[in-house]
Amino acid sequence: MILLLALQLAVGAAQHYENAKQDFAQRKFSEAVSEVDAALHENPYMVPALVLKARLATFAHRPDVAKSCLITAITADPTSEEAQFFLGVFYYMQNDFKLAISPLQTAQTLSPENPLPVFYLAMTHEAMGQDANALKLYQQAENLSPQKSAQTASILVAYGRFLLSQGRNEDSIEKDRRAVEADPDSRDAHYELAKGLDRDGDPKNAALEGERALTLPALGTSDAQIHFLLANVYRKLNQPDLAKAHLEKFQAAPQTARR
Amino acid sequence: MSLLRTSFQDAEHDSEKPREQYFETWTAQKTGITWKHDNALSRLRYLPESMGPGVGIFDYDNDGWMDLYFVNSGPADFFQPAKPLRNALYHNNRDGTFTDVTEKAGVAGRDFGIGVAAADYDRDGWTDILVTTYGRLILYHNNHDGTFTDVTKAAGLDEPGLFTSAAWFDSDNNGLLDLFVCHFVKYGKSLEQDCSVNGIRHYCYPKTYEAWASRLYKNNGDGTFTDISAPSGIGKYLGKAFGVVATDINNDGLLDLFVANDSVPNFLYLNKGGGKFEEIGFQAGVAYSADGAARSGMGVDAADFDGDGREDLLVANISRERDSLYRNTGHNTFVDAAGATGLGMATAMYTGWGCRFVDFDLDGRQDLILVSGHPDDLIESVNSSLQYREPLLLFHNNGNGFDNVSAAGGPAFKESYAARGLAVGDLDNDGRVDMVVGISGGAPLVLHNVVSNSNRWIGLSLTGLTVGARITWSVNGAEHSIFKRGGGSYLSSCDPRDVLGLGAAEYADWIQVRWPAAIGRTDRFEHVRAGKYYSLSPGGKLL
Repeated sequence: MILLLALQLAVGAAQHYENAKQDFAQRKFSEAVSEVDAALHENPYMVPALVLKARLATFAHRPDVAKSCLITAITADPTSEEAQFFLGVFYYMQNDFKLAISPLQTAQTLSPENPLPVFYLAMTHEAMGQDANALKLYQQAENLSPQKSAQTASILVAYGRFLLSQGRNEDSIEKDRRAVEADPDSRDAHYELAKGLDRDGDPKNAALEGERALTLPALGTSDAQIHFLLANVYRKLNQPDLAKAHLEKFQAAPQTARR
Repeated sequence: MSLLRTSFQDAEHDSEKPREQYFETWTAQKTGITWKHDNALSRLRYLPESMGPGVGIFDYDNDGWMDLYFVNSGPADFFQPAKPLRNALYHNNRDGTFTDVTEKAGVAGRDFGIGVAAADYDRDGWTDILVTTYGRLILYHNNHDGTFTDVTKAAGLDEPGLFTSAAWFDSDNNGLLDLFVCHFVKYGKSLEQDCSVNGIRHYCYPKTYEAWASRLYKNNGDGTFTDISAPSGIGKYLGKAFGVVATDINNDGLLDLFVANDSVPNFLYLNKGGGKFEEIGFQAGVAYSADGAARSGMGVDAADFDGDGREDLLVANISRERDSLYRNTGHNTFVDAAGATGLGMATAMYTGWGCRFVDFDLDGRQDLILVSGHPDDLIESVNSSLQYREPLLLFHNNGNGFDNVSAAGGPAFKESYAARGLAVGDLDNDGRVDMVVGISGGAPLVLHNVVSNSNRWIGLSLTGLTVGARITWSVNGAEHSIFKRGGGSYLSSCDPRDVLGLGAAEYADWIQVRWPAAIGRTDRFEHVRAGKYYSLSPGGKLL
């Protein structure tokens, strides 16, 4: 009798989790929260549900809940690559880079062919100023990436941005061009390519890429960033009206500052 | 850009280098400096607590030896010290020890002291002292007898505010030192807010406070000053200014101003002549990061680090923002070369404050010293990757970029500090530049340069109006140059003398001093012997 009850609960939890996953994919976040809570009510240590709840909590700006879920998930199953990865991402997003490294490394060990843990490790080392490590890891992430996907483009964009920050303009442009090839609708890729071209003394093509970026959906790179770039680029191209127009749009946009 | 190679060495590479010790620590026991900074740390975390202190290196009694000045907190609307606090002036005893002469000199300060800028504003040949505060500015006039008189009111500088760094420079080429004073934000106890995290008060971010204009005061030549912030154009720009350096970015003979702002764009005031300035930070490429974000600038400095004849600019930023090294590309434009030179990655995790280009090993190239410390003393409770106390950083200019040689800097470079102000100067007149660091809530750090190479030097003490002068010298046919900037670093004032590195040469082929435009002359000297300080006034001989 007890065994049967346990089986029913497990099936129920699995179904709620599947529902939550679908809702999450369809960006129906409140429905997803209800389903994942139902799943965890029936099975409090269901690791995939804990990870999903953590991701939902992150969207809801509840880092305390996200962290708690991920730590519970890892306690329940230390071999969960997903839980380890998202805990690393969680710390990375909190700018707590030292804490991010261990779970990301564990995730990498658990799933050595997955480029994402390596990618986040690369970004973490970059944020900590460890350029040699970051370079090695970016290359590793690129090598592991499937061809022509949005994920590959994201990795190449970050890699290119890192190389640009090192003054390696040409290498950066090469990564950005490949990112554009992998995902032609990536605003980030076009923007980073524009930045690289500008830095490399090619404002004309930088303007083309910047204008293209402006037409694409804003997921990462903001309009303000692109206007800032274009204001500079058009000034170099001696097109003061366009430079002024973009500068005004940049100044009208909410200013970004870390503090 | 390929001119600059990525020369920063990772820690693992540094560990393979020989462990030369470039600086030894002069302890309080050795120096006799018992003064300590009180940062007024309170449970409610009032903003000015996190700012100071500044330090000054100057020769107040004209005995040829650099004395030290330290700035302390004091009474304010949010702080009543349990026991009296005071600034301190230490006389250099010429043997590595210093004597506290504050009371006799009459420079103990008042209000909540923050920074110091020393200069001879009245051309009487004696160094005067400006103290910035949260409260009112203080101008101490040197009485030539080891004492000073507070002349703030008579000088017309009795202004309230939250003042940070200051720079003396001749804004209009009339031969008089004018004064730029950074103003941080509109501030008062009643404007303070509760920026608690998990119920614990932290210092608020600057965005909490209203931006405010810095001040430019014109020297009237009669001991008084006139606030020309508005007519000069500077007063209309509201910032959150921490650092300022006066330099000439386009070699037109007019001194420009570069101001580091915290969380709002930096300002680059181009001197248009006639007492007018134009703010060109955006056009010049020094206002924002490459992605259009305003960074949190603290300290600044200027030097021609790559030897192309143009003054470059440095900003020490908060952690995760990396410092900015703006390479001057001509035509009033700059490119951030921090990444390409390795400086960006090396400073990624640190909050820089005091910063100074200086040739610490006498090879003729401008090296770089940075001191750091996170402004939030509780940062470790909210982020395990950051620290309140951070290490000192020392970069050697290799001619193409910078090598991080901090690991060889000496014992102090292996420790961490809540460092703020940094002044450099030659405390023992051995031609090797020492450094003094202001520590928030602690004793100052005095580091004596003990670089053991056989490089030689010539010291130059220019008299009269010197900010804006360019010193050029040749060693075995290779030319080097220093432009004498005003201000720089953070809250601090450096030895006004210059040390010219000669490498192994016993003589400089020649030395040339192009005096500021107001003086309008150039003096040149051939075959100058190394190993001593020379004094020089316009048209005079090397003495």
